[in-house]
Amino acid sequence: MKISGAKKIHYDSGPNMTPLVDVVMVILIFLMLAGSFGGASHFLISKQGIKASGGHGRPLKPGEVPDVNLEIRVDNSSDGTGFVAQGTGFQPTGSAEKLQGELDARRQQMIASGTPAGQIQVVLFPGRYVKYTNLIAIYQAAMRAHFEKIAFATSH
Amino acid sequence: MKKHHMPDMKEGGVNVTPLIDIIMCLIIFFMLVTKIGVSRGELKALDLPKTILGKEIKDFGNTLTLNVQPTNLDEPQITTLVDGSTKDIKMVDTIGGTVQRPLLTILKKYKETHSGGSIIIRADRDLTYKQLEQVLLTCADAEISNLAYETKNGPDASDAPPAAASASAAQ
Repeated sequence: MKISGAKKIHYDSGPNMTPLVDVVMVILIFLMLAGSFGGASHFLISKQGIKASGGHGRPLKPGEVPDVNLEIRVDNSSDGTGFVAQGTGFQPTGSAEKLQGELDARRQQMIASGTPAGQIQVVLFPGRYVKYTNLIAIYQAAMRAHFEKIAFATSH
Repeated sequence: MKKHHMPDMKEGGVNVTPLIDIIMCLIIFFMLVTKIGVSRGELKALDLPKTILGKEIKDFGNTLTLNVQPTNLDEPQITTLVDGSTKDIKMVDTIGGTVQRPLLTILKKYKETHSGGSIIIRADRDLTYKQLEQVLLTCADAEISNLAYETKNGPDASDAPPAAASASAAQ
């Protein structure tokens, strides 16, 4: 008597995807671990560098018109956490937003009095113990007030 | 009358096509975003200040990154990429009885090999100007005036509206 075996089941499932999925998963995990997802960096570009006395820091070329400096003195606030910025023609302030408004107004005044916008240079005179984060806040306030040239000066 | 039969069901297991579609999309995304093997020697531990403004630098090939950390000493701790590895660089060092300025030497060498290159200052938010100033003066001594202050993208505490700022100060 012939015994027939179990009927073979035919699965019509196409190519075997398991090795592909394995490899792809390994690549995915590698890329996820190798990648860095910190907040994107910004760069505040300056071509002015540091000035010994707020001036050009180098002899003027023949025919070169010197920049007009808008000096801002920066110190720590009394509680040590913030800053106090003061300059000619505006009240001392500890707010970056107010400073931006003051700088914008000063810029308009200088342009109205005939100074070309490209020749106005903001020079920051920070105290020795002013924190970098406050300096960057002031730097940004000057950028927001549409100044193109911003420089640091030596603290002594 | 002819009988109508239901079509045979084909048992094909789990359909992995959508899974592969999604994974492929993720892989392509990560491949585009990730920069593997590219380092400019930046210290991840530095707490950078945040700004809303600022530009992006796409190509770091013509830049040198200086990580500047605050210390209790007179000079800050500076690290940078030298010959492919990140090293601590002193501002002033005494070697063999002679006073040398290693940072200035590196910057001058960089200036010679990278005309028009810029220095990225990657400083901690708590660094004082007393220490930052030394780095800026050394850049000036090396006749490098192209500087870029690296910050994180985002609003800083000082960007808060005055009302919110005063409320938080009162607490």
